Amino acid sequence: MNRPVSSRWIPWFVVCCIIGGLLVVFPPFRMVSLDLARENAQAQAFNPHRFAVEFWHKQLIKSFDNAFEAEKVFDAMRRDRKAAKEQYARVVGLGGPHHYFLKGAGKVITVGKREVELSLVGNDVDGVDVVLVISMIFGNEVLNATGLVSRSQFPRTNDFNAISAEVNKIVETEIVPGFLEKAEVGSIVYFVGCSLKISDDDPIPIPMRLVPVKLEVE
Amino acid sequence: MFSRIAAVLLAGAAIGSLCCLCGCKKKMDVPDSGVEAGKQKIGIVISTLNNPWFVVLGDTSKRHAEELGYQATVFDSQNDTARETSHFENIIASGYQAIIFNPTDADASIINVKRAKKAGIPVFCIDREINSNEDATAQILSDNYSGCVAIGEYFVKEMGDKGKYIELLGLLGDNNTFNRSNGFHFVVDKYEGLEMVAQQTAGFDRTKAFDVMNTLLQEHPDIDAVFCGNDAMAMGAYQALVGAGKADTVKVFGFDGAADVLESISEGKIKATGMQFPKRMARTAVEYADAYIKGKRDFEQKIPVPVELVTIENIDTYGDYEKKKVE
Amino acid sequence: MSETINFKKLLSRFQLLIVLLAMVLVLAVQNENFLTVKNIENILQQISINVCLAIGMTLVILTGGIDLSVGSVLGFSGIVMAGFMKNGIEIPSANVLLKFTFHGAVIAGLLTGLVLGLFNGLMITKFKIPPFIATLGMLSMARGWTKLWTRGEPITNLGKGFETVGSGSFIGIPIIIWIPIFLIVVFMIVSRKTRFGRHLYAVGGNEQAAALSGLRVNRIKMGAYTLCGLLSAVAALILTARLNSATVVAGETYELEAIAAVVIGGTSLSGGRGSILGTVFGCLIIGVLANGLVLMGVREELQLVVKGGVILLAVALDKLHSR
Repeated sequence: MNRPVSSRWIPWFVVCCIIGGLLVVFPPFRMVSLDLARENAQAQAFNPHRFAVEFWHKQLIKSFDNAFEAEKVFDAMRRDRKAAKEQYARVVGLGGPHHYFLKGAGKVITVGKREVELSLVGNDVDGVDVVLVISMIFGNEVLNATGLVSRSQFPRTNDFNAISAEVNKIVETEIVPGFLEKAEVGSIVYFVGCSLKISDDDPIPIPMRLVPVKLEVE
Repeated sequence: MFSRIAAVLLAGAAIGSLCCLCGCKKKMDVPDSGVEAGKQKIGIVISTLNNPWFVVLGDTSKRHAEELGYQATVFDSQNDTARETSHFENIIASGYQAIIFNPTDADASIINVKRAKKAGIPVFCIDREINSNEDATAQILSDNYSGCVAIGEYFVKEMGDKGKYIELLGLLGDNNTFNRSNGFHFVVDKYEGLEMVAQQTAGFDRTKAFDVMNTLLQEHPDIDAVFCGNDAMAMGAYQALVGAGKADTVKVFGFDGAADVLESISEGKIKATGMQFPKRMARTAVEYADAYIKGKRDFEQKIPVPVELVTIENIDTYGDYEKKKVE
Repeated sequence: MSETINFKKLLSRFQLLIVLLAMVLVLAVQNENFLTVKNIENILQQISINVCLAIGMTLVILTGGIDLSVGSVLGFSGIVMAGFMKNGIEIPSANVLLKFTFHGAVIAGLLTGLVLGLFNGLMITKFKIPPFIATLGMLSMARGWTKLWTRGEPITNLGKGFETVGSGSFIGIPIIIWIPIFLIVVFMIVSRKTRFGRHLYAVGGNEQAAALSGLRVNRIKMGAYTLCGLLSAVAALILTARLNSATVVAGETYELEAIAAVVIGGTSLSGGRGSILGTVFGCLIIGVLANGLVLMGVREELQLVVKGGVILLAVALDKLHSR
């Protein structure tokens, strides 16, 4: 206690020097360019748009042939709904909601802002068999009905939902506008589409509401 | 002198209470005294038991596991990942065969599932997901997004694509909060006439929602609707609207399918909710665990459980966290 | 005179040992999974956080104070560690990102705890705010900062360093158990053999007398709160490493568990009497009790009741002592 002030600080000084030295040898942080780091982070982040475009061109288009003939499915459904579900539908998750992936040719009955009504070619009467949803498309219909992408592939279900949103956007911005230019009442349309969710309790879903993924006007 | 007496007292009390507990346990907690019989055990870890919805989740799992011949224990994580970790360690140390797991956090809970996996114990997530597709044996998850898309569509139908509304969020950082909010906004934001004048969190809590709603009503007295991330908040918001005399003009939308909200829907007080199926999820998870213990290994990783829109038009078919059995 | 005190001290330590052994005995007989290496390791890992907090709490309570903020300080230090590790610090004006190394992040977290503890000490000594109120304020502030920083999102996947601390081991014993062992040894020496340690007791025993006899009471108190903050940050390191993530609610209500351990360990809430070893026994008793109840499959609700009962018994004991 009676040591002179200067000598009392010597041990502190030594300790500080040692700590400082250690921090120089083992630096607690290093500096990197912020822009570069942000670019890297962006490149690594999941990009639903990219995934959706790739999915569309590499998987979806090739699977159009796997869609079932709408007419065949509807006939089966009218005969025995349960059997039709088992044979043609894709069940998603627990509790029985299911989707159909259908193709066919239909005559345009009405063209609305949000929906287009079709009557299947080959039907004697011009009853509405299919309703194409052409705007305000929500939900996971395309991924669910085709079964090409499963939510099990993703750590986060959010990513799966985001892809659906991008796919729906492709439908609304790339498939529908070209179709609307050419289509008018009476024209024949070749379509491939994914049904909205159908629950077992619903009445027989004809006319069936479809999200179109391919539309060709004759 | 005192200390010696006290020491004996304390030791005696401690031993006594433990012994009493053992005794109680044999009588009430585990009817067939499972430990001694070498019965197989299933652990059920639930994020919080402070919300009746999760209590249903836990109780149903426990009852169904017991029906299948297992001894089952429910652990309450109290929304704390650290507590959850302790539960997992205890479960692993005491030789459970499977875990039914309702995680506290999609990211932070992953490490707990990894722990169990390393110890060879299968984990079945229910209701809430973990942000991983390789650690849990299977995840049985409410399809919050699609459910809220459906609510969003009904919302638009009821509102007639024009009006002002408030959104009450659950918890920041909870996946379900954003799955729900995103699903709803994905639909509603496409209608420019529908304007969200305020968005606040109310912690999935009834009282908090009541307070928040009261405050917001001061600032926005002219709203037409409220969308709430769960039913507890919907009930709180509705109470606030009643107090402000606006219950008849403002439409309330919830999510969960809680008993009191179903009743309110049938009385026309609340417009709609998304029915989740906690009992179905719990039972399925327990059946999966049973199948695993009996040798099944190939499970789908993420299994969505649909959320169904409940409105006054179909209210009769729902009740008690389930779809009523149609004869 | 001093002999009787020693005898009493011995006896009270003996007491805790009896309780602990009795519990272990009963549980070992009851459940074959209890006395396994795996489970004992398990118990020690689970109490490691509480040991850190309770040691700090003991230092504070010895001075006659209390620190309610340890849980929140733990939470905030953890977020600082995890946040620095994962995201670093962005300095947009200089277009620079400071990327922290593991030890850099840990040091930052420890310093955070230390500074918050120092702040507590300053409030209590310089502004004469009662410890209960001062640390209650910190409890709220630190939790608020944590929530502001994270907006509720946990920070996860912190990389190799934290993983090593969280699941690595040294001579067969997990690192997470070594940390509290080290702290116990250090603080037993500090409390018994150093001047600072003896002064803690003196201040808690009779503050005025201590001040009159020339002790720098404020400094000693500030030291206790600062160490308590630092130890909270060490607990944050353990928790963050174990979870490999930092969450917003990390540490909530941990202060109560720490106070319970201190009280069960025989430290008097009015200050001046108690020991680090007693606190360690307190932690062990709580930990063994919690683990044992779970192994026996006791319902969660009943566990709470039993835990509360044990704490009450311990305080009753404390009162009997000081009569």
